Amino acid sequence: MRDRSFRDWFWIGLLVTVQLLPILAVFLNSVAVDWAGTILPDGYTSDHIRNITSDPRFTQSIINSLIVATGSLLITPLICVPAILVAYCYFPMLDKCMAVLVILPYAVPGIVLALGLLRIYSGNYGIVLNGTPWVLIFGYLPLAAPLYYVPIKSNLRALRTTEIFEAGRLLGASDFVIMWRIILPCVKQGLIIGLVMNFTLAISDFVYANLLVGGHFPTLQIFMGVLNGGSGRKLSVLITTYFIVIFVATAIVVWVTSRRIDE
Amino acid sequence: MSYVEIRGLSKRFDDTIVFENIDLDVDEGTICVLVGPSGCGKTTLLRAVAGLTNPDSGVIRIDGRDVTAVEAKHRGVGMVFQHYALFPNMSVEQNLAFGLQQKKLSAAEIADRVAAIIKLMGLEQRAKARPAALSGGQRQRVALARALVLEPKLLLLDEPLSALDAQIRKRLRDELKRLQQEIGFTAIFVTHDQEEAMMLGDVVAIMQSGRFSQLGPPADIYNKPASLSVAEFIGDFNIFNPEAVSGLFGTHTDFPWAVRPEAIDLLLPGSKLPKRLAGVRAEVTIGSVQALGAMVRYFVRAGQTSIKVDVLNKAGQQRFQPGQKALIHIAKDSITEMLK
Repeated sequence: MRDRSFRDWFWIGLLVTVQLLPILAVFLNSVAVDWAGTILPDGYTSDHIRNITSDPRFTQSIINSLIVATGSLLITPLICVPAILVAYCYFPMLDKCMAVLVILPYAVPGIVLALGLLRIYSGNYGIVLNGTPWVLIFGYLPLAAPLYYVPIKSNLRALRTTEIFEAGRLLGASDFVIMWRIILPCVKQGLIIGLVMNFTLAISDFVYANLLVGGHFPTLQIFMGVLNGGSGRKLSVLITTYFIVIFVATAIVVWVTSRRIDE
Repeated sequence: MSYVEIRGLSKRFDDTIVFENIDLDVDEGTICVLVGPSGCGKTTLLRAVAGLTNPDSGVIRIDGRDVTAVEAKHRGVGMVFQHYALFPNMSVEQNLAFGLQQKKLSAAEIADRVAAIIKLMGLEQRAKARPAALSGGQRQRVALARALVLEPKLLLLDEPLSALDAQIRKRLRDELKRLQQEIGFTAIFVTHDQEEAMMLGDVVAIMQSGRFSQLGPPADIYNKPASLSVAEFIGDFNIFNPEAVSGLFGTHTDFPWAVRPEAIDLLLPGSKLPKRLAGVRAEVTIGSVQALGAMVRYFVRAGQTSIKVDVLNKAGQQRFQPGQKALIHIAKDSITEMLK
């Protein structure tokens, strides 16, 4: 491989800067005394951070968001990943339908999907979840399906799954063992991407959270919505917190998943 | 009774007959090679023996046991796939141990057997490597080792060398033959390469359009093809139709002749042959010359007939030149009359 030139580093640096600059700006705004018409704030203070962290709604919103995101991470892959693997390995025709099916939630306007979910979970079908975090956890399931489907399918395409199954069976393994010990570890990268995207979706969604649970179960995004139009500094503290939560949680998801699957 | 017995085996996919009424016997400790063109049904037959495809009718017996309806994993067969089918997330050692773990052997026994097969296959340096880090030849050796470590009653090899380049292919072919002689396993080997079939097989079955066209020792198939289609498939035969035989050699025949290029003597005009070498001769003109390494191939013409002649490429031997007149001689024993 050739040595990296200054030009290579320049483009990488530019990309990182463009991505980090807004986060840095939001952080500076959250600790600024006053910031208008200058490149950097006039002074720095931790008052806004102290104010918002002492607000019980803030802690509760973070806890609520983490409950929803963790719940979604525990339930969605358990349903989506086996369905994707089984469809791909055993029912190629079904897999083709699945490719269309998983993008449907994104083709339907959010309000329509939210109303549909409300109808399903309001007791019409014997399931009452409205106003609880469960409605969000199950509501995010169809939205998260393509986030698993696309990267996992891409990993599966690189495998000769039919031959792997045949080889495994001839070696005396059951299909479950082949799936668990060979196929699943081979789609690890896709699974990690799916988990991270699922977490990000669950923690950053405002539209469905607002429509499905609203004030009954205020998440971080709903709390942000409440603050919107009020103090810009407080909102910046909230957004910075949001970035930190996402960063830490993503790191944990990647670390845990890669360790578990390697074992 | 043969070690592997296949009787009346048939398989169709919808209206297409894949193979029909196949009978095959393989003796213990021998390699039977199924060779045929693509789509002739040889891989499906192998898969039926493995239990990966259900035949429509017929019986498969291995070591006296009817396994026709037995699940693949309980048949006691090992299989080596064309594209290796190694488990990409596992190291060489883990790939080899996988089957033994499914048999619930003790960890100590698994370790011993894996170490032994790694040594036998010369994979000591690559034991911890993942398949992606191995060369094609090494991958195929791991695939072979993975099948052999379970000590299968029957080893099935589905074109295992066809994805490899010529050099590695030759080396692995020799290695496979050595291993077979060392361990004495029984195998059915599928290939479309005639040379591979001749070199590896104790018995070679030529499969064409779902049937065996000829089955026997490689020497018989090489020297005495049973039909024109076998001769054409085995390759490089000169086929002389009855008119050409009559025109060139002044001999009457009702059937075409098949003659291998190396069975034809190329001589200077006027050369005399000992009388004991009964055969036919004709005058020819040298067309073109190709050096094939160990052999020199001459394309010669006699009237409208083009004939291939292979001559051993000896150092210092003078070659015929294009346009030069020459004489060909074919010994009687080298002529196969194609009755069908």
